[in-house]
Amino acid sequence: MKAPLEFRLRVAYAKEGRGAYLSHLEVIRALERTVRRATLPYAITQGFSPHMRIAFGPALGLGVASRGEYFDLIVTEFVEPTRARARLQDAATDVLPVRDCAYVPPKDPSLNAACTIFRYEVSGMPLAYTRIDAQTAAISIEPILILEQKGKMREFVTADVLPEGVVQEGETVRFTIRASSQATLRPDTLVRYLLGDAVYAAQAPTLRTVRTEVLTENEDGTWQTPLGQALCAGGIS
Amino acid sequence: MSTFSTIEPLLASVERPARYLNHEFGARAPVEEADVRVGLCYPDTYEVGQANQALQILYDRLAHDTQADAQVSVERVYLPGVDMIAEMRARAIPLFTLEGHRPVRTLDILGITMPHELAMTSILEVIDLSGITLHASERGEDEPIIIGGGPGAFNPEPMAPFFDAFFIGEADTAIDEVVEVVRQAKMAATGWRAAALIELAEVASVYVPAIHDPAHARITRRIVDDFASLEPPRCHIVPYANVVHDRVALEIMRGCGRGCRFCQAGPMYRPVRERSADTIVRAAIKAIRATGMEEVSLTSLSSTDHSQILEIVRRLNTQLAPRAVSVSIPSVRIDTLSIDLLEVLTSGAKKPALTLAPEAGTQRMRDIINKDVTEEQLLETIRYAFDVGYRRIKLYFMIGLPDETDEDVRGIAELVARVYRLAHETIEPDQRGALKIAVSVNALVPKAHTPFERLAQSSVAEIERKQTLLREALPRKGIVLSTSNAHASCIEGVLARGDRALAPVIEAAWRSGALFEAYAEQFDIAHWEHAFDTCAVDPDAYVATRNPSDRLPWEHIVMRASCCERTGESAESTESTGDEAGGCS
Repeated sequence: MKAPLEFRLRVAYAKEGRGAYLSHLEVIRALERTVRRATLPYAITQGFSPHMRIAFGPALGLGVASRGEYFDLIVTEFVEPTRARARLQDAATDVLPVRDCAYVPPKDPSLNAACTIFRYEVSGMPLAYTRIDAQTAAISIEPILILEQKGKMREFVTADVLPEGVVQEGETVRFTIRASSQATLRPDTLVRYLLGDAVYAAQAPTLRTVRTEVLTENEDGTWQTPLGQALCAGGIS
Repeated sequence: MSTFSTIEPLLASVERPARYLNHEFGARAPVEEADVRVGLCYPDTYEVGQANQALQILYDRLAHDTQADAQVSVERVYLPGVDMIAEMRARAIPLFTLEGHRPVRTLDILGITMPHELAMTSILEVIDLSGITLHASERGEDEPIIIGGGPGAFNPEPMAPFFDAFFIGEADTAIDEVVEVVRQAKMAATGWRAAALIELAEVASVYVPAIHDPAHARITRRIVDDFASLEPPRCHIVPYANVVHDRVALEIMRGCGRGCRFCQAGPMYRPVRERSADTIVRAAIKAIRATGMEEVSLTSLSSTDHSQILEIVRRLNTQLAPRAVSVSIPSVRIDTLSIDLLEVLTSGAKKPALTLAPEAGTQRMRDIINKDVTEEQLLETIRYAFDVGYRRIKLYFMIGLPDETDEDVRGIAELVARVYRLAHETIEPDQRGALKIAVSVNALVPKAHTPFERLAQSSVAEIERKQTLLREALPRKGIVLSTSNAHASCIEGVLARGDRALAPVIEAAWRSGALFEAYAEQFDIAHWEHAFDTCAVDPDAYVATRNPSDRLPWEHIVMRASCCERTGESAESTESTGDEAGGCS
């Protein structure tokens, strides 16, 4: 039997404003509905409970916004990427806007496996708080960080998990986290380390965390966006 | 002015923050310069309230028909979760509307649906958390007019002191009249609140406790005569949160032609009125395209009674199943569920569970409640269902029925055991792992406006004894049994047939902490025992037999004379009278 025609459309979207408070499952459901509203020719699974063939990138924590998230959608007909993007943008909600889309090779690794580099920006940090400077300096020299994450003490190789260190500019700190096959460092774990438990507890409700970029890492160590090796790009919106 | 900036710091630490966000697909922005601002409230959390079809209908009506010309602004209001309420009270943050995150107190009209008796304390929480004066008689000019509606309004007296007005019946189109009366009064001059109440009292089906004397007034239930041509809602909000009944709900029919004697929905929504197959199919396809949702539910009190149900499900499945969109029917009648319909329902995108309500375990009991279905019909239907692929069956029963013996209670267990044996005869051994038979048993709560309205309700001790009897008689294996809290059923019964003397009791129970009482983990009988003691009110009097000469607290609410009216029927009747209201139009 001839295999059905399939294309893998990779879609970039953001999680903005109040959307930061949506859980990963809520985001998935909302974007599946966006795809249906966009009337894209999505493929469905066969079996007892047929559903849309869609796969999402690494989950974001509740309360974390993002400028660049991705999902892969299998479609059964080729829809020109600029048209697909326009239809998705029309169907999207304002807190989960669609930014771009492109076809990627069907055999490429999944988004979950490929996306290992995450850039974050945390605003609302206290100014002139010397502990942040001290902890940031420690990160630049300490080879190992031992941090409490989800109730357990975890050991992180600093250069691996924070390849670009931690940079503070005014009320904002920026850092890049590399995922690990063991525990991946969470941004809130790092911010708690920077602020200390007491100040973190007081500041947490007003801190704003944004994942600014999700990247893949090539074998030669270079980074690129998940749309970087697109077969047929939709252009920048 | 939006209060979102005061709410946002709380969101990361409360459960399900998506409840409080708004910005869902389909939600409307409030109209800043509207003449009149309306809030539509369901007194429970967002996940429960967002599924309420009555509020969806009214929201759609106001958002489309009047909001367009900027005279009316409509927003949704839900009760926050227990954790959020605690945070809001600690920080003096008042209850807010969802669309604008504005204080509910700044609205002109707050419409609250009264879904069931156990929501009464939650309604008081809505009013108080909003910073609105609890008693209507003490409200000031700057406070909204609070109007109750829905099933609870059919016996409004226990809640009368807390509401400015009640709308009795179907408000689909009448909402325009109500809002316009308030708008005109508000535009006229100062003192608008009193003027609005006087005008509201003149609107058909509106009960204003401050003006109408329940001893002499007659408030007649409103019904939509031309339901078939009433356009189904065009505006569907697509929630982010995982709400109950998270699907497009399309009302295919209103009213139920059956005459089950315990059922309050029967008299509330008669006569039976249908939308045509063409209207339903067109509206369902349009709604699925507009929302992107994965399921459409064909709702009514008894959807398999729709004269074109097979054609409707077939046509929808043909169009929707290839897109993995399923069609479901929430309420099925055992005697109208043909094998053709079962096959069509299981041919869709998903294999649904089948819910059936035999209500009683013996034919004698089913005749007493006029549930016109036989055991043979039930077993035949379930055999069909197993044959076509159903593996999950849910059966609803009641105990505490009039003239019920222990044999009748054991009859439930015997019937369930026969269903279980049937499953084993019909389903291949390798598929029995998916088999699930759930049995839900509730206590009868006699309700106002039903043939059982003067019946005594079984005591808590009697219900608990019968629950134990049933638990011991049911097969141990393969059956999941759930029963209602007998104390909660008793309180529901007191409130269902209560009078105005219960208002202080409800207030006392709420002040002692009663809230979200429909949830087993939230219900605490101690709140009510304390309230009855404090107010020196005897709850037993409300669940005792009412004599034919006793005046009932809901007699001023008139169900509208029609061929379907069941007044005068003997509650002691043990004969099945079949589909009595079916021919009414």
